[in-house]
Amino acid sequence: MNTITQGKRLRAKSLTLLGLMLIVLFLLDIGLGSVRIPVSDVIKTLLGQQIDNSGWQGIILKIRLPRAVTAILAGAALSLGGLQMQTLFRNPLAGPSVLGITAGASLGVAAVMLAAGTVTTTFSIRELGVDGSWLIIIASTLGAAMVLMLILGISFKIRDNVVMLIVGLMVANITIAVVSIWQFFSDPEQIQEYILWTFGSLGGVTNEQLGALAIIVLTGVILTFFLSKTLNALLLGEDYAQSMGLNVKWARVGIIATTSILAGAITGFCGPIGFVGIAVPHLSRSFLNTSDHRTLVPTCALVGGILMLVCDIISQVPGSQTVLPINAITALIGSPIVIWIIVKRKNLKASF
Amino acid sequence: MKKTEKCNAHRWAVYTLLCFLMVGFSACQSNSNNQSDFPDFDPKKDYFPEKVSIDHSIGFDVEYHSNYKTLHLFRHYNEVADTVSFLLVQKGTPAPEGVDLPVIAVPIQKAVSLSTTHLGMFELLDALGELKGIERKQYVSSPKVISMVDSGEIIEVEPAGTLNVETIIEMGVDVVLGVGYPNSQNESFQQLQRLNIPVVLNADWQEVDLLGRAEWVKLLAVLLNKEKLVNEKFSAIETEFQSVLDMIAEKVTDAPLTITGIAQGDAWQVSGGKSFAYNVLKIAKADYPWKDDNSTGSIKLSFEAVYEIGLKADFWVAPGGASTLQNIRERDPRYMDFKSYKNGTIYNVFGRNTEGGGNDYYETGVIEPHIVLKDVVKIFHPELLPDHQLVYYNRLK
Repeated sequence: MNTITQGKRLRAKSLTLLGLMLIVLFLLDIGLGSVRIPVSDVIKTLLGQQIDNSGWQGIILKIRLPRAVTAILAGAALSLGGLQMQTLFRNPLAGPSVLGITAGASLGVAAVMLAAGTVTTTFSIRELGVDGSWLIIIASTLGAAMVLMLILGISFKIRDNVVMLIVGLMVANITIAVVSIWQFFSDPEQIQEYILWTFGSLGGVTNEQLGALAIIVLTGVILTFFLSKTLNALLLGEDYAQSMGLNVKWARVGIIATTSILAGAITGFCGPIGFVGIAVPHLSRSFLNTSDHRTLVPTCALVGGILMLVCDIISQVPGSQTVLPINAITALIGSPIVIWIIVKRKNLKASF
Repeated sequence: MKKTEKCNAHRWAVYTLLCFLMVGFSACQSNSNNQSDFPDFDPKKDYFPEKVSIDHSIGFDVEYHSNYKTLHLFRHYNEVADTVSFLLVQKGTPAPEGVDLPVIAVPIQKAVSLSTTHLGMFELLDALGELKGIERKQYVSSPKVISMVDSGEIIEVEPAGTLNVETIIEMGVDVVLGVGYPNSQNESFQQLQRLNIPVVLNADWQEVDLLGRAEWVKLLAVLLNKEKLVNEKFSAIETEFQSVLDMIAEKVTDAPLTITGIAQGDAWQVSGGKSFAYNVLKIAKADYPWKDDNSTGSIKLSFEAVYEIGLKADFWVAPGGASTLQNIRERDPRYMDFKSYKNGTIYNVFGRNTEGGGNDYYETGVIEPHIVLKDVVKIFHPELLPDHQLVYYNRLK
């Protein structure tokens, strides 16, 4: 009894700490950037007051604020996706992209960027009056949804999770192969555009799109919270979970669908952002020394947001005029942290 | 016993090989320059009375000799700038001895061009008859070339994105005019060269100014022995170009601020301070925030760094692939805050683009530097050229 209350207290404490860190980094991310803006002006703008330089106001409210919010959403969504996949497959290497959902999104984007002019679907989408950034978002969502349907269809037939994992990987490989054939037949400019997309981008989400992204991600996050107990049960093994009265098939469908929504939305709006989804669950588990999903879910969401904010700050290279691709930074900064924590704590194995 | 047999077989093989080699050598010998093979050849005669001089281009040069020309291509785009040379030997005359360079017999009669930037040059030199192959019809603007492809006079050699080497060999072409990039398609080019089809890598894109790019027409003229024609045509272009420059020097006093490029992902690529793209704006007297930059290509900046300037810049030139204001708006509504968006002073080079993705700016625009310059002057200083209508540039609507 005593340990449980202690655990609860520790949990509350760590969550508060992480929450505070998130807020500090959020403000730091808004304050730092290529253009040097005085702290007082940043604060005034955030409080809704007018400042003399309307350009700075635009930079803070239209560029940095949506980017920082996107970073938090992306970090949380990918981390929760990764957590669910790792638990479902009981595999520490699983991430939100293992089921081919990210690859499916890439296929959708490639269809627009590379096959434009040859594929009639692109034109029919354009005729609906959708163009520019929304076109990319819709294309990648359709691509992700397509793969999701396929995977869900298969998951009804297959009982074994290991087989499911391999099927997911194979589906991802097929989609990647299709994309590479398209790349082969495309012009350098089109390939460049596509490659730039694969670098990932948090700044492309505008205020209007942010609303849509936030609703999707929050839905996914809430669903994950509801799945916490299911995930805990699955951690004990499918047979055990079944004996506890869990409908394993439906649990699996729920988890796959939730992950797809989370990963698909982020890939659609920000491009394929790697690493975070695999790393953050390990970080959180190691950090709190627990594998209870009721604790892990909120922790993962917070740690994911924190990690993405840190990466975003670094990718903006404050004080310089240039930027670095977010996708490279996440792995470059995140990997050493993960190695350090895992080696230091040595408690990863207990979780699986 | 066995050993001797083996030995004999071995010796036999060596003799056969030697025989073959000797036959091969003698064949080669008879092929090489035997003066008697060219009864009409007069070594004292100047076979190219009309010559060209290269005044603007940094990418190539020509030397004249009695019956041959030496063409040098300078590849500034490689890590270490290097030179590739060719001997252009007058047909019916022997190649010079002791010079180990690939030989092209001139005038060429069958050429393949792998870039639309050459097509305008062929047309200018009245040499579409010598053009036998192009990359792909899809990107061509010239109605003449398109109809020749349709009628089969010109063949597409890169219909699916990769060079079809076999088609080129089958056509029996004299020269392939490629595009030189760092590591550009070296595989298939080397394959062609091994089969004695010279590949001349045109790198007009590495030029620093409009005239330098246009002057590559002289390279084609040298291959076609059309020096006289090209001198006439090019000097007319030069004169026209200079007159526009004079007018700018005389009348322009203000320099409106402009930005270039468009954001892709988190980064915004703008033209570098030593780039061709900025040079075009510079000679038309536009002010540019990155004019002191030393890059010859483009520079990557963060979105907000350019956004801050874009808010107050008078003009916005060449915003990537955007051809309408709607494109701009849909890519990112934040662009609507720009002064250039509000004033409708965003311009791009889609004045003459085609359905298939081709753009005449990269075709005839190359050999009409004076028109391109006039377009740019019209954009920044419309009062100077009241009667000029934009040709290659368009105002985004």
